[in-house]
Amino acid sequence: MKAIRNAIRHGLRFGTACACLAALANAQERWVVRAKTLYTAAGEPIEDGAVVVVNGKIVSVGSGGGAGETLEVAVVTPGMIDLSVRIGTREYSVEQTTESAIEYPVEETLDLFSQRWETQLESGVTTVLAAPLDMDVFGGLCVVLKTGGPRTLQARRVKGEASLRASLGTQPSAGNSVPRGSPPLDFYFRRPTTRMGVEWVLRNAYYDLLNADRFGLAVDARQAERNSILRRTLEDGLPVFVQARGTQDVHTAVFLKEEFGIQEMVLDAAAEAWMEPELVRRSGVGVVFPPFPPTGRIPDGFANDSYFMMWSAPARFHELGVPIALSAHGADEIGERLAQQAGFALRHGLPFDAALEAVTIGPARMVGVDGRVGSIEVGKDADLVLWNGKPFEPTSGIVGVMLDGRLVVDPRSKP
Amino acid sequence: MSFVLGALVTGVLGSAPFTQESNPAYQVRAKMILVGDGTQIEDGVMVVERGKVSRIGRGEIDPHLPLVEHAGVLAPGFVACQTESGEEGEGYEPTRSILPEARLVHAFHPDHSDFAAAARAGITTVVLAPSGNDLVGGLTAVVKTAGGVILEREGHLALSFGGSALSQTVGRSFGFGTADEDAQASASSDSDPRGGPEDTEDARRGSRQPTSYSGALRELRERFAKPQGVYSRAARGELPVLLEAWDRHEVMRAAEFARDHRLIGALRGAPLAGDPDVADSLAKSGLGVVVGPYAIGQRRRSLESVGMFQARGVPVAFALASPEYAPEGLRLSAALALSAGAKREDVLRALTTDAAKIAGVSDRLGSLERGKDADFVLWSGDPLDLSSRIESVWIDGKRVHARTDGMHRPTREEDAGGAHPREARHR
Repeated sequence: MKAIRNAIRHGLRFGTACACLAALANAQERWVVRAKTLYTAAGEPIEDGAVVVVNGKIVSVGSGGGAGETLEVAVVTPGMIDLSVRIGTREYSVEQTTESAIEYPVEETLDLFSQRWETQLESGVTTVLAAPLDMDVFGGLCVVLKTGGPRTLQARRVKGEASLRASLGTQPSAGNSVPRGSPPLDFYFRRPTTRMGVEWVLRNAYYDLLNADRFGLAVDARQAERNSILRRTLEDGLPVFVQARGTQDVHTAVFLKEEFGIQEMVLDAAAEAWMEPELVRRSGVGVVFPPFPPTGRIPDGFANDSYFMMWSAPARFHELGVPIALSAHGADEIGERLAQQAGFALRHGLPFDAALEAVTIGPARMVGVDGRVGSIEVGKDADLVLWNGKPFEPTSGIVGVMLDGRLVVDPRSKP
Repeated sequence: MSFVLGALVTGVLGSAPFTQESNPAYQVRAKMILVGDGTQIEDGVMVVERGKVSRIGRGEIDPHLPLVEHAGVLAPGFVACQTESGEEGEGYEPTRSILPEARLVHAFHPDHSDFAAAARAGITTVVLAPSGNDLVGGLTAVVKTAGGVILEREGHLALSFGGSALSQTVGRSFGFGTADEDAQASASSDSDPRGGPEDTEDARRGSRQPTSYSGALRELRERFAKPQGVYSRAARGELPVLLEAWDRHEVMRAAEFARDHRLIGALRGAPLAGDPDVADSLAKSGLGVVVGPYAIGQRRRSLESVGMFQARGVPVAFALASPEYAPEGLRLSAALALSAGAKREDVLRALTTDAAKIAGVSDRLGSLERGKDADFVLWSGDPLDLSSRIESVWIDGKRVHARTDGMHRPTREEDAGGAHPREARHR
């Protein structure tokens, strides 16, 4: 029996080795991707440029090329990055027994088999930040992932514990209630029910940390874990991504940053941040915009709230020097994907280079993965988007996508 | 004592009429014997003594022993892994989701009609398991479908990696599809992140914890970090686990957890794990798989996963999921897997040897080898041929069911041999 089991294990190991070799063989392919215009997101565009890819990495960028399988397209850009992709396992991505799920890793809740990752990949989004639904004040530690490749975290993870998720506004408190007429039997009764309560939970987590440090309070293992993560946001630059849609939530987030000295903060889905441009600039936060709403207003969904986003907001913040990123919130519809969001921003005043940056190297910097992805530079991952015309224009389309040197959408198969 | 006496009397009389009551030893000759381990014997003879198989093979019949002649196929009784027979609704606790010491054996009601129905379908042993709606569901029981025999009081530690173990809505308006379908249903999580109309505030209400996949892993890891009680037995490999997981990502999570903690046992669910990545991951984990029940119209991808697992050396067994599914569904599941390309011997093993292995009772059951329990079924033809019928079902050497529709009417002597359900209980 043992012999059989060993034989099976051995066979498996052999099989795995074969699979690895096959993957390696694919990755070892040498690609030369030529483009009439090469937008690298790291300097001036290169006319008649070429990117050489070996072993899934970019080994040369310029006008040369040399041997290797050659692809020729009109335009090549870096793979796009979406920091608010919202592809998850719905309510099971959220630990609701606590409102401060600080220590819960979001990567453990993901469904890498979801078709929606592939939709993202085919639409040119090669890297994403995965966050839970905002049903808690603190949603946990987020992960930066590739949208393709083997369906394991080990294979797709670009950076684990890339940011801490927090949420302000009405969303984290929606569904909670005060015990009126019924006994407070379940955990939805003890959570915040108002904007003020949400803010208090956030502040309280930091007070717990500061008190423990200042007075040397004994804390249990879980609290110690929470404190160590919060401490990293104050000392080690762990970014805090705060969902702050309304103006008052933008205020709250910025004031919390300044009060506690949170080093890196990014306002996510910050529809109304444009109402406080000076405050945002002064505070040094980054901004991830939600998708542009066709009606101009973004419904809240819970309270009778909705948020107004000005179409020129990205352009305005770019002028002020605020780090910006665009997001499509993982939309599957062709007209709402990330490339279209960049197109909307472009049409409302954002210069082309800034629009490209806002979907590539800009978001990469916000989560600290710009050493690996976000631009076409030697040594970076070969994540490329191949276009048939100038990117983000309504008449242009994505004809090819390369992820880690693997051609996932082949431009040669397009008519 | 009366058994011994009976044996002596028969020995003297030689050609005594066949009655089990007075004679614990008899022989069955069948046109074909499926041993259960993949081998088959044409014109085989099996000798049963005191409820055990004492000899099996080709060859002469013993003139001194009573003989049951059968013109069809003799096969081991089927072992169904995972059922709620006779305990529907008792297999989970909606008020909390961690119940390590809960024992399904306490919900076992041997005279429940579900067991008789299972026996009539050729199923002689079942694993009574929690429903998978609890993160830690408790301990399974392995029982025979007649005679009240309990083979294992603590069969497996049942853990669930499925979404229903995280849900507050179990038993209420629970009606989600796969996470993928759900995600597509509410593609924009902005406008309605909490899901569709069934997901009302009232339906969400509850106090079961944890509520997330990461929370579930945290709870389980905490318990296996310094394991005590049943966790410690599971961690040492003394107590197999039965892990429930349905979506592919849940299966990956479960397999990884089992690998990390060196758990032995089986995974229950995985209807769409006909994905090479998932099957590889499961093979690496060393777990078996309990699939089904499959019904007419089952997606081919589910059915093909049986062959895919077996090709990787992963033992497979079928779930009965009674009483929701009729017990005949077990054989239907196997036949459908066969039609989707699995090998015949492998499918038969999934009903017998491999199922017994997964149930943790392969020392006593699963094949008709010498010394094992004489739990067998006389079929009119190949059991995987759905037109074959059951002539009789025998548990511990005693006939517990015989076809009475005119084609085979048991003699009065044979009838007298039927075991009383309470006779052999709690051995």
